[in-house]
Amino acid sequence: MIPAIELACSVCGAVSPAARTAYAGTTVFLSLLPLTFIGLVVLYVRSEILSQASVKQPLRNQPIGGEYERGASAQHSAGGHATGQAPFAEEQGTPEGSG
Amino acid sequence: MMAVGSPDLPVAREERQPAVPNAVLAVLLFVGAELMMFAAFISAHAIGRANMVEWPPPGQPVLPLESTAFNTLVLLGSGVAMRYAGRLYDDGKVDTSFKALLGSLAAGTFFVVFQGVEWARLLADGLSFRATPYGGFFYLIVGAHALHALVGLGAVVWMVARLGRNTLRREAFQAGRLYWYFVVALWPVLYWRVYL
Repeated sequence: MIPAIELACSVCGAVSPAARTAYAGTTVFLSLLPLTFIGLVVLYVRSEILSQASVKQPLRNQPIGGEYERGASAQHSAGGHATGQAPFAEEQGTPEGSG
Repeated sequence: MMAVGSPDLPVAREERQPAVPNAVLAVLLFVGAELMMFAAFISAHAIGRANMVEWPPPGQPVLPLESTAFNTLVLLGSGVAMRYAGRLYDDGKVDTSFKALLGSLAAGTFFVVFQGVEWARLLADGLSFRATPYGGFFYLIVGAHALHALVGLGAVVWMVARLGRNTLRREAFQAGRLYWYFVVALWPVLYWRVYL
């Protein structure tokens, strides 16, 4: 009266116990892989947001023209272009269509 | 009473940068899709292999383990050079970064050429696409990876040309590096599943 339990793919799991094990294993693998990938992407985005926030944080609560800004601009001019380093390495908005 | 948002008031405008650049996000989405495609290939290979009584099937050539292991190390070296190039670029050392990127390109090219030579040798030894699932899975999985490696090499060539002219944007470099890391990191898994 009660029908037998059928696997989603009757061909994959019917041949041997090894095939049945492989079928179950790949089912778990294919189920967990996208969740793992999405979790890693979320962690990556979170770390990027936190790193951006930590860079921006010292600029807040500083008086305009204060010690930090003056020191930062002096450091920028000394350590960036004057030493032959790439100016675009520190900036985001470099024009791309020039090359 | 002054209205909120009056044009007379100085408004602090802070330009918001995206947490992840658009190019990097696009590559992440693409890599996620490709990852699932390769996962499907690996799963089908595992089930097909479990269904076979003997693996490799009788009369089929054995895959070259040692030479491909060496080639795997070369590809991993390419990934390390790419990582090094990225760090140098972030430090503003463009010239050294350019050389490291060239090294990564050379190692990646060697990997693809070496794989092509191995393919030719296996074809000559009688490993065909249609004779058994053994050959079919091999050419499908390794060929799909080779296709991705070729696309990645094209991207690296583009990055080398841009970096040589100092016109490579940080986001583009990040996106290209991310794709190449995917190609490099995927191969050892494929080697383990297909060759061993």
